[in-house]
Amino acid sequence: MWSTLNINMKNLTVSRVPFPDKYREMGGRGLIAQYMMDHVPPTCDPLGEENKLLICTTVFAGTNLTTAHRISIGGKSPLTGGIKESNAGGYAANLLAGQGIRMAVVEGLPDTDGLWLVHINAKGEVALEDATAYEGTNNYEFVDKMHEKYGKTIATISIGSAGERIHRIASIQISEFGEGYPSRAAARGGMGSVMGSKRLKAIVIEKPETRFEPEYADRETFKAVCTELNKVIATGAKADPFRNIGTIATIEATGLSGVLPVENFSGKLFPEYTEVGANKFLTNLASRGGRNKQICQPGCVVKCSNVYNDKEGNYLTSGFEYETIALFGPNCRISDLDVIARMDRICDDCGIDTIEVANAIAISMEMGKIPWGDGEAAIGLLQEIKDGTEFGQLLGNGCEVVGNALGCKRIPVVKHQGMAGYDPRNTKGTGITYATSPQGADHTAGLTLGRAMADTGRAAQGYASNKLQVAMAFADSMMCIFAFANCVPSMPLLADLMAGLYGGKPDITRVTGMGVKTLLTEKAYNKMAGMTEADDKIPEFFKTEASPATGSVFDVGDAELACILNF
Amino acid sequence: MIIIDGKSYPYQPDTTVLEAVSQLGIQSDNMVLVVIDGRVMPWNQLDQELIQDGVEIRLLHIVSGG
Amino acid sequence: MITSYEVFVPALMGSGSSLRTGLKVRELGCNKVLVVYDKGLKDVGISDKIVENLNAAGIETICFDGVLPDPPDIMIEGAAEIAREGNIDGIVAVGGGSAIDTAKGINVLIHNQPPIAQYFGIRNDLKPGVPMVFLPTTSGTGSEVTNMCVITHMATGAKNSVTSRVCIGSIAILDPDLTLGLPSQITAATGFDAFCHAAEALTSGHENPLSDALARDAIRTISDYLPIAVTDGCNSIAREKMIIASMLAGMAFTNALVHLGHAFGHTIGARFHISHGIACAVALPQIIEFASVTESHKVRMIGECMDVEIAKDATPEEIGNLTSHAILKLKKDINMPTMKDLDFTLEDLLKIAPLVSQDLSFALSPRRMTTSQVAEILQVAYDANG
Repeated sequence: MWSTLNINMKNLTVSRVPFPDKYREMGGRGLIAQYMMDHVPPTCDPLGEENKLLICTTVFAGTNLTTAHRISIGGKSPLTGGIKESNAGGYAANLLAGQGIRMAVVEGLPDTDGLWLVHINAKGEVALEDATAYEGTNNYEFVDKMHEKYGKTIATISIGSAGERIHRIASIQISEFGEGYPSRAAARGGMGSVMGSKRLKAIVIEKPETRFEPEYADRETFKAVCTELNKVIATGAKADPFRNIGTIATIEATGLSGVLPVENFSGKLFPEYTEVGANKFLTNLASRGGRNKQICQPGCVVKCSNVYNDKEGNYLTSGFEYETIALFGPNCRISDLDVIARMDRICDDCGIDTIEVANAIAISMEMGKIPWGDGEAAIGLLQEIKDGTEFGQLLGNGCEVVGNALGCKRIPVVKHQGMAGYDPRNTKGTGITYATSPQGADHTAGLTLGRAMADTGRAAQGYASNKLQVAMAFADSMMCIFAFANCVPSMPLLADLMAGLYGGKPDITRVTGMGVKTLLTEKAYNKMAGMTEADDKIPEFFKTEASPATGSVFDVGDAELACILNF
Repeated sequence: MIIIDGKSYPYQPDTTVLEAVSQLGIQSDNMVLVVIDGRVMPWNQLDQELIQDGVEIRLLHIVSGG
Repeated sequence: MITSYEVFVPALMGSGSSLRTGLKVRELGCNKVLVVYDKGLKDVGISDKIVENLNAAGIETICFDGVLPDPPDIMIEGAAEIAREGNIDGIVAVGGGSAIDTAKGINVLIHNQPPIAQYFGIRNDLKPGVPMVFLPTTSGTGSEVTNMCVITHMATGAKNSVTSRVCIGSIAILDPDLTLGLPSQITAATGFDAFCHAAEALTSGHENPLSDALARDAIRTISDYLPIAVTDGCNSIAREKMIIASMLAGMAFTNALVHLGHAFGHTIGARFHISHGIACAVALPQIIEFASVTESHKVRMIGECMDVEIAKDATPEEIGNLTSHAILKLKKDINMPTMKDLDFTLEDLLKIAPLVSQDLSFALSPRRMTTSQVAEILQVAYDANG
């Protein structure tokens, strides 16, 4: 029987209780949506007593489905003011599942000063331990210390100094399988600050002596279908640029089409994008002993991760991804991949969302605080976050805060959250997702690139956004979306898996229904939190400034946006 | 011989990469990356490069984003 | 808004133009063509005339007379085999949409391996085929000027289309004489299909000014001349106007695309086995009213082209209402079967509501429609008994 780990920071207790039956067939994003609706008042202060930090695995936790051990972290976001689910790869979900833990709920605020961590040992015993010795310790050093103390077969879920300082764009870093670098980020929406507000530094999970096994309604069917589906995904992944190169490959598509953000979403092209593109990346890996085709969790067949070394061949960063490269790179007119890698490292270390802070740095460049393209100056700004300077505090609270402070008129946010590496004028369906997703400007909620007629056109973009938002909502409850993308031709098998694990009929509406229900629940939650249609808007400048690369403006009307998530 | 996506084809001198790929019916598509001997080449440059005997070409399809 | 108009087929128009088929095929450089038609066209002697015309111009012909309505993929695959074995270097199709789409399907398979079902969707990656010449005998599907061919996938029973450069004809020959014998009911159904093409192209989210201009003219012409063509099939002026209007509507929609009317139409047609034009007509008035919320300026154009007086300050709802009534009237004027005539119950109709959203055309709606709104529209259409 699965457990919930209740971590009560007011009483300073941690205990295992049975995982509620009502959430039996839920996981990931769907579970967070329903749990929030049931237990967290939508009008609560995100950094206050009533908000909860939810950490959970997917509906297929404990099974051999590839990438089933994705971790979802949720709560009310201090950045968007609405519901947030932020997911990541890494090893932690696999070990939580191995420990029989389907979900961890962190609630309350401590009455006393202090800092704590939760430790789950190999026997499955859980303890809340004093972590004041690690106060101010950033993630890399923290993980090293945990390795010294508990060995390398552990996983960590931790915040750095940004989370401890309750910066609204603080991330929660998850350690990667293998070396254990804290480079997988549950980055969006400031969940790190919720964790910091509760004075929880980390959850450290040891590999269990005996791995928990879930109960199957029909084990044989499940295993057979799982084997088949894993094969389908592995076959698809063979031709997937994410496997063969890494997510950086996306830049080869967006760099030429005006989708890649350049110079604070100016809509221009950046011919130097090749300096931060796939070929440069592969050359640097090959000549410096870096690696791609790495897994971040056991059993992944997509293998999109990487280890990126510096010029001397020493480890610099891992999980070096398109979003970080696009937004620290061309969007800041920086064309030095090594400089961007250093920035990635700093962000993972102090625990900050690279998308948000990169947008903030681009705004800082636009407003003349530092020059465009000045990588060292950009690193200097990140150092200010680490040092806790006055401007560093602003940066730590997101690009809208920085934009307002500097008087910038061009702030690329929806629901106060910064946009990802796709210009909404040149991938309009993605722009529709940014506007209408309950998660804010979130590309993983429904990236429509190449999915519906011309990306700069209007036809079918709303349809694509709707379909993808549903798909991503259930995919994020089940597995990594990169694995999901490769299993789409065999999607009915997901229904077979549900039936094999939980019983009942293999009905695809059980799967698609999960997506629709999650979206409607999130929307309802946000409405109760005070959000209105006014929050489903793309910033004005995207509607009035034509992208010089394509001539496009974001011209999807309000009436169209209003019905995107009608079902 | 040249190899495209694991299949062998006869090498024809004075053939551009674009010609080699087009003979399979593949046309310029932003969501398809053409990788020649491990190097990504943009579609607008494919007609400027002649294939060499023994070249390996792979066509990678972008299915997701992140 | 930046728009584009990309699909264009040269056309030869006018009474007697079909007598230049042989000349045109020779100009295209063809020596041996597959002539594609259905048995009905053979029976009325039209196909023989075309074959004779081709032979007289020195063009060798192989005939395929096995065209079936809603062309089944296996039929097309069989015909393509004949084409390949015959080493043809051109295709001439004479007939309605089924004959033309059969020809297009054959052309897909000239240099691309069967089965054709693997090519459903928008395909930029198909190897080119041979020149195609189209002579429509209905007015009509407009297929002679579009880049898509609609095929029935026999394994699933579903209709789907291949949209590709390979499906674009080299020339369309629009001879109204070939439509003089078209029975009244078919004239009405195919004529209304053309009307739907124009109305949907005009209100599409993929609009462009050229398509708009073509669609407007098509709507005007169809409103004026379709009723005449239906009641007086021998009226050569009405037939001439209609064949051109059908082509204009085809040109409009192949670039601006169709949406809800065809999503409903495909679904209703497949479920109740009624012809395409009649199926698309079922809910069109209500769909145009729905579209008016976001496309009122375009719906106004439809209404005004149908001579409806619409006040300058009319609201989107009023514009939608007036225009949908005009469309209902047109349906009555051409004796389109009513709901009662079609003999399905409201219950039957509502059952298909969830299927409408599965149709690809649904994706192109200018304004998102939910399944419950689909059901509402079907209910209103049923009650209107139009």
